[in-house]
Amino acid sequence: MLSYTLNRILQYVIVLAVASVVIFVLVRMSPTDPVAVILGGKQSSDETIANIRHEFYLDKSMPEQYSAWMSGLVRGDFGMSFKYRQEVSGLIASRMPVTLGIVGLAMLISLLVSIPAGILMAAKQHRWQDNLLSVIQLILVACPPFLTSIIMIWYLSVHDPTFAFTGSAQSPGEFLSRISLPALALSFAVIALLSRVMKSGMVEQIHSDYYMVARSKGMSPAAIIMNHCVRNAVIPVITVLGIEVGILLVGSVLVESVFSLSGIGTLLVESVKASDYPLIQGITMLMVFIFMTISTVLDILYGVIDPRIRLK
Amino acid sequence: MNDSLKEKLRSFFTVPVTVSLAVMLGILIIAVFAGELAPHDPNKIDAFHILEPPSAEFPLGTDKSGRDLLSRLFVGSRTTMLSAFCVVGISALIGIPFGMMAGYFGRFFDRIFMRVTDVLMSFPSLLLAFVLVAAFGRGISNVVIALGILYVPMLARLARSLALVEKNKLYVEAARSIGYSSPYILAFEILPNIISTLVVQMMLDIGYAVLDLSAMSFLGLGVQPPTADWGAMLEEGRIIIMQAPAASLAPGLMIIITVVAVNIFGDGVNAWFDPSQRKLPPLSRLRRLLDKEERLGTGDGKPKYVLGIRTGAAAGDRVPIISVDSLKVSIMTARGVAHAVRGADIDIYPGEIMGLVGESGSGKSITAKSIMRLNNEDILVYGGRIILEGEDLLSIPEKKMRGVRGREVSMIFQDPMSALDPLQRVGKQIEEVYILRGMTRGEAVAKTLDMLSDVGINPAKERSRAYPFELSGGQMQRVMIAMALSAGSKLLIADEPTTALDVTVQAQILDLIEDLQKKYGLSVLLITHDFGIIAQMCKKVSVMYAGRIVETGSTSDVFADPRHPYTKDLIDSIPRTGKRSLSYIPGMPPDLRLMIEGCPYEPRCRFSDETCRETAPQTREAAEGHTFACFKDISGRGEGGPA
Repeated sequence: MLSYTLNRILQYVIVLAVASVVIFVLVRMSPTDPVAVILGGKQSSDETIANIRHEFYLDKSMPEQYSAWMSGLVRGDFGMSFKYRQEVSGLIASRMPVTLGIVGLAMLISLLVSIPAGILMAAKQHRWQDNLLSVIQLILVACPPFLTSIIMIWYLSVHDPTFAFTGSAQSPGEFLSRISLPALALSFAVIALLSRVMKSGMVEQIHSDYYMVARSKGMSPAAIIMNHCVRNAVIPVITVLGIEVGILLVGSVLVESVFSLSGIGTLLVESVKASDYPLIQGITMLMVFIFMTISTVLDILYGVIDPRIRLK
Repeated sequence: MNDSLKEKLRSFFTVPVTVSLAVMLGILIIAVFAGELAPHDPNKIDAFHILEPPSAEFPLGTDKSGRDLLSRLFVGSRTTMLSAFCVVGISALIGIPFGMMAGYFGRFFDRIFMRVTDVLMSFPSLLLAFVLVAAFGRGISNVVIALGILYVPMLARLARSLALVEKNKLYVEAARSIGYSSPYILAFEILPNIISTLVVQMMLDIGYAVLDLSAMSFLGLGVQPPTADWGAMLEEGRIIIMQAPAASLAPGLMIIITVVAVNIFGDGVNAWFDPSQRKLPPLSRLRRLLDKEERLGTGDGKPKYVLGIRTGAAAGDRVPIISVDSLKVSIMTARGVAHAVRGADIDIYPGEIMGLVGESGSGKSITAKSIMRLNNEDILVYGGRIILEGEDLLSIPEKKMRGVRGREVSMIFQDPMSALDPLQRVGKQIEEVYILRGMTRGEAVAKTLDMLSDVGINPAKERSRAYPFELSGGQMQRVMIAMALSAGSKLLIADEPTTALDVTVQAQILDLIEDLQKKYGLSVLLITHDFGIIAQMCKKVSVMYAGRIVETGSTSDVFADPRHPYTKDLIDSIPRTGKRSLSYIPGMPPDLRLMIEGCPYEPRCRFSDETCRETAPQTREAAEGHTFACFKDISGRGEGGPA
């Protein structure tokens, strides 16, 4: 277990390091001149330009710029935004709750729906329950979150015109009501995928030797499913959920923009449109960081659930 | 066109596949002929027709610049579909060669490949596309390139794993030994064999590309105004959703339809490649089919299944603990219905070890599982009775059957290593049986430990806390025996209990079964393909062939004087010291999907003649308690007898 965990953590650090280089180099490859972005098209004296270059480390070599950025990152200093002339970390921190709320809630909804759905589909394989859910699954996969969001807004605008989609939340309840619809829209595709994984895992368990042995002991299928199969089938679901965190983070960009919520996603789109490199770098790195952290933690958790890994 | 090709095509064009294929073709036609199909200029701004509702002139209405929505939808379909094809094309051109090379060459190249794809995959989905678009500017071509790169790792990894499998196959080694170069082998030997799987994945990728491209355009990072694609139209339509819902619903519907069609098609093709995934017809159809066959008979009045006289009926006044009476079991497979058990009769008497011997595929295991009613859903017990204490187990409700399992009849299986839930301690899985019977936890734990030490697991307390993977095969089989006997069952079915174990452990497990049989006065049905085990363990034996019992008798009688040629051949093929060579039975057991008119052993039998081919032999009696199903009486005939 110790070597397994250390191995995962080492891999985690290496991937983060390489990802940071990739992000940094890609952004530097842009033909757009950062100074022009910072100045926002204003005419300026050479002296001002030189000052700006110094202030944003643009007069340093690429490796120096990178190490400055990295050492800042480690201290929680993401640099200064070109467009807003504010600390990137501050901008991100103020937008963070919305995005994390949406992603977290979407994960929760996905798990709560897809695990029972997968169990039902496997237990009733080839019967009408399975067929019905399979059709729903197919449609959910094909519904992009922005489309679902638009339809939700349209429906609610017609049927409940007083429903508040946007605006700053004053209480936790209001916050929850703001993020619930985006989270729901975001969770659809994940529900479709996870329930599929859960179903195939359950089908495999139901056809396993131990299922038959348990039946030969006189246990009812329901008892075997609840006591044994679910735990075995949930392991791959957790792994896939770890991968889906990335899709949820990026998907949050889409639903935030439809619901006009100020989260990290809308900030990222603004920064891409404005060529605000420190902001792009900061947000991208943060997303990779969150994604990698969650999937690494889930991988280690996987080891805790499975004694075959834990005890080795 | 030959029949097998016709059959193949028919199995490919199932209803969902055909419909989705038609839908995809329709979308492609719209995309290709968008210019000709569009009734208006899609970008023409018309101040006189702003936000028109759907009408004959503007079937979907107009947008806030007065542009015709249907024309924009057609042209937008072209943009989206073309972009999606480009995305998948780019990913295939990069991913497939690199992936195949990584799989084929392995070593250093493979390690680099895996690390690079690892990093690419550490970017959550579209994020890398955002960075690339940020660096190189907005616009559909940059988005297509970015997504193309984004799609490389998945496809490349698939190509790698496929090439890895192919590389070790005989035809590749042959090509290598002839001296073909590696690029030639990759391109002309391996690629044709894996291309179909790759194409299915690429089809599915088209669906994902449509979703991702729409997302990018929706955010304003993809196509730039006034160009239309589905994503951009959705964004434009979003603002006017209250006035013109069609403006966003129409492109939305196109996205959904396209992706659903692609996914259905992909699933269909996958199922076609892998028949085990194919959905089997329901058992009710199998039952109807069998009913029909039964009614029609085989056409010439001869019985299809040989029911025979009751075997072993002359066992004095003793009553069998369980009596299997002309059991018939059929299995639905992807390639037809297999009649696995064709009227088997087995009686097991109290306190006896009864052997059931036969080759693999003879129907032994299915007979055993049918007694416990543990068959999977694709297996139908079609006829016969299984009488336990005056009751037919085949006709009692499932709930009542649950009470029989474990308490009246219990079973141990061939592979003990996979017989327990891998995530739960073994002790807990035995305790479960007691808790099921209404004991408290404490009593269950105590009973479990008793049972474990009974089967020779020591120290029981410590071992009961082990996980299945921590125990050896022999120990696991002991645990299984403990579990089977835990509810006080008097009949144990042991289905090849030692086949998966080491030879030295085999003897220990057999000894254990023998000891427990004596200690508890158990009846045992011991299923094996090994006549040696029968000789050592069983008082009586039944020999099974092609779903029928061909000979039954006391072990000593059957060994001393086998009456059925198959029994004799089996006994002759037991390896013995002093025997020069191993003998075997030539030929193969019959295809169980076929009706068998004559004796099923006839094609392999040394003694067979015309009669055997045409008529199935009835079971007849050789001596008291010794029955067999053969026209010939080979008693004392043939070369070499049992030692």
